Amino acid sequence: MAANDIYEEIMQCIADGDEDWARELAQKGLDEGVSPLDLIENGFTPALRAVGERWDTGSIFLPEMILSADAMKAAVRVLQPALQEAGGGAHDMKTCVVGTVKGDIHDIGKSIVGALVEASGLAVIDLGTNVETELFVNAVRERGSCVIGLSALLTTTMVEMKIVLDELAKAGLRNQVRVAVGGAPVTQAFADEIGADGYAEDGMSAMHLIQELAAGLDPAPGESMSKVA
Amino acid sequence: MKPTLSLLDREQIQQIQQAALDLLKNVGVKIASEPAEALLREAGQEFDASSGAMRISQDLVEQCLATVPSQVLLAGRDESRDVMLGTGKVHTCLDGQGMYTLDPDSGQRRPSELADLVAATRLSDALEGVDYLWPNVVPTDVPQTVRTYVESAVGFIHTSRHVQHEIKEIGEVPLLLEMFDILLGDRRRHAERPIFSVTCCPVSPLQHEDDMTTASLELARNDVPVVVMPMPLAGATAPVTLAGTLAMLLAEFLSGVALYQLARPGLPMILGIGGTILDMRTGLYSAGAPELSLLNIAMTEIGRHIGVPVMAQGLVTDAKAPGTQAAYEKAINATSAFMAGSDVINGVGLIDSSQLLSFEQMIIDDEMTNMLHRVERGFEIDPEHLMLDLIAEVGHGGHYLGQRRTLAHMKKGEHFQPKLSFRGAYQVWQDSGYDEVAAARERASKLLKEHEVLPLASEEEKALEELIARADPEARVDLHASCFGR
Repeated sequence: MAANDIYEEIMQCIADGDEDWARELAQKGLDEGVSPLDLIENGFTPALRAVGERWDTGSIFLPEMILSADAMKAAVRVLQPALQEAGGGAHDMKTCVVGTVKGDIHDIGKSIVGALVEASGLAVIDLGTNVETELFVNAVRERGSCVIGLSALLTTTMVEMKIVLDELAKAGLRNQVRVAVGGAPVTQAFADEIGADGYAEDGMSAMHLIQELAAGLDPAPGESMSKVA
Repeated sequence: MKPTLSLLDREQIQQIQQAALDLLKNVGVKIASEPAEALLREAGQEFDASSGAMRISQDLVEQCLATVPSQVLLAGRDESRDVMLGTGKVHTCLDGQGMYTLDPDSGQRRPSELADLVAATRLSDALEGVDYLWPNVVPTDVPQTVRTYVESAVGFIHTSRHVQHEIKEIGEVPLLLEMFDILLGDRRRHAERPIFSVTCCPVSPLQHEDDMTTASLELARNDVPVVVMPMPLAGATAPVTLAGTLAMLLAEFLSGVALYQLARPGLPMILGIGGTILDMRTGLYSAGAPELSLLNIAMTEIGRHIGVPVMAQGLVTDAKAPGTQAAYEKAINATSAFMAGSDVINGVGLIDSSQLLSFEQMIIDDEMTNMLHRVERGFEIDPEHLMLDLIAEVGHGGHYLGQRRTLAHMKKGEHFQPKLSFRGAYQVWQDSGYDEVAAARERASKLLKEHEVLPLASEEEKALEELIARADPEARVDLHASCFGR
C-alpha cells in the first residue's frame, strides 16, 4: 500500500473521530515501514487541522472536534514508543500545558481549549483541575519551552494564576514560557495586572492566541515541528 | 385566575425524580468539602472508594426533603418589602455576578467597579419589577480581602430589600454574621428575619467544591437560607439530552438538600435552576437558548412537586448589547418561567450570558417584568367586570370613553401603563427620534437622581464601614461612589 493511501485513510478516520481505527492505522503505518514522524506530520496532524478548520467555519459541532482530537491522541500513543526509539518525536512538537488552577474544579473550559490547541498542531499536556502550582512548574522543567494555558472559573481562584506566574519566575523559568489565561471571571485587565502574556474570551480565540504565543517561543533543540505549528 | 404553562405529567415528574435518586444511590456525588462529606458519613452514607464519591440513599434524601419548608421568607431591611416564596406568586431579582459594565456614559464595555454596583443596587431599589437584590457585578476595583463584605454592605445600605449573595470561603463567615448583629441587633434574629440568603453552585457533573460549600454550610447553621443552584451544561458537563440534564440537575440539588438539612434541619432552601446548553459552535455557555426555557418549566414543576420554591434564570440572554436579541431571548425565557410559575426569576440588567451589566437593560427588564405581572394577574369575571348593564346602556355604536366606570377601572389598573414602550403615532415617533435604549438610559439616570433609598441608620452604616476597615485596614472603599454623571 502506498503511503498516500494510508494518509487518505487517516484523513477519513480522524474526520470520523474513530479511536479504534486511528490506533489500527497508526500500527498499520508502522508495520508498513512509514516513519512515525511522517505519520504524524503528514497524516494525523493535517487531518486534525482540517477538522479544526471545519469547526472554525461553523460547519461541524464541537463534539466532532473533540472526538477527532481524542482519535489523534489514541494514534499518538501507539506511535510514541517508535517516536522515542527514533530519537525524537512528541518532545519536538511545540507544547501547550493546560490546567485549571488550584482550588478550582471546573474542567470544561480548559478541556475545550486543549482539544482545539491540539487540533492546531501543538502537543497538549492536560494537567486536569485543581492543579497544584508546583505541577505547572514541574511540567515546564520537564518539557522546556512551552505555552501554559491557565483556567479559573471563580473570582477567588483566579488569584492562583498570579501565584503560578510568581513561582515560574522564582524557578527561573518565566522566560521559557508564554502564559495565557482565561475563564469567566478573568479579564484582559486582570491578565495585564498579573503579567500574563495573553488573555482570550472563548475557545477559538484561545487557540489562535496560543498558536501565536507558541510561534514566538524559541525553538527547542531538535525542533522539527515548526512547519506545522 | 392565573395563566399556567405545564410540560410534564405526574408520571414524567416521577420518572425524572426517580432518575435523580438512582443517580445519587448508584453514582453519588464527589464532595471536596470535608465537613460536608463528614455529614454524609455520619448519616451512614457509603463512600465509593473507586470513584471517590459519596453515594446517597433514597431514604436519606426523602428524610431530608421532608424537613425543607415549602415556603421561604426572604426578609427585607424594610419589612413591607419582605418576599414570601412558595405562595404561587412570581418574583424577580437581579443576577449574580457579571465582571463587566456597559459604561452608561461612553457606552463601552469595561471591567465592573464598585461605583457600578452601588448605582445598580440603588436603581434596583427604585424599580417596581424587582423584588430583591443579588449583587449583579463584581467590584473588580475592591481588593479580594474585603469584596464579600463590601458587596453585602452595598446591598444593606443601598436597598431596603432582601440581599442574596454568595460567600467565597469560611473565613468570611464571622464578619458576615457580625453584619447581622449590626443590622438586626443580634445574629440570632436572622432565623425570623433572614435579611441575607446565600447561593452555592454545585460543579457539574456531580461535584460539590470545597470553599463555598464549607462556608455556605456554616451560614446554614446560622439560619441563612441557601439557594443550591446546579448549572449543568447539556452536552458538555451533562448529557446532551434535556431529560438527562434535568436528572443530573435534580440529583445535584437533592444532594445539597441532604447536606444542608443534615447541617440544619428545617433550613429554608431554594432550588436554583442554573442549567442550560453549551453552544456547540462556540463552545460557550448559552443563556439565550430555548432549551433553557424547557429546563426552567420542567424543573419548576418538579420543585412544586417536591415542595421546594425554585429560582429560574429567566431574564437572561447571550446578546452583547441591549436591543433586539436581548429583548427576544429575555422575553421568551422570562415569559415561559412566569407562566410556569417559577417562584423567582433572575436576570434583571445582565446581558452577554450574565457577564455584562447594562443600566439600560435594567429599565427594559423592569418594563418586561411589569408587563408579565399584568399577565400573571389575569382579570376578574363578575357582574361588575362583565359590565352587561353598561353594554346595554351604551347600546349600539357610541363609546365607553365618557363613562365614569371606565375611568374607575383604569385607575384600578385594568390596563397596564408602559413606562418605556412607545405607543404613539408613527410620525410622532419619527419626529421625536425615539430610541428605547436611549430612553431607558435617561430613565435610569433620572431615577438615580430622584429615588431615595430608605436610609440605613448612620451608626449602623458606620459600623459596617468599621467592619470592612477591620477586615483589611489597607482597603480604601467608597460605599457611596456612583458611576452615573462622573
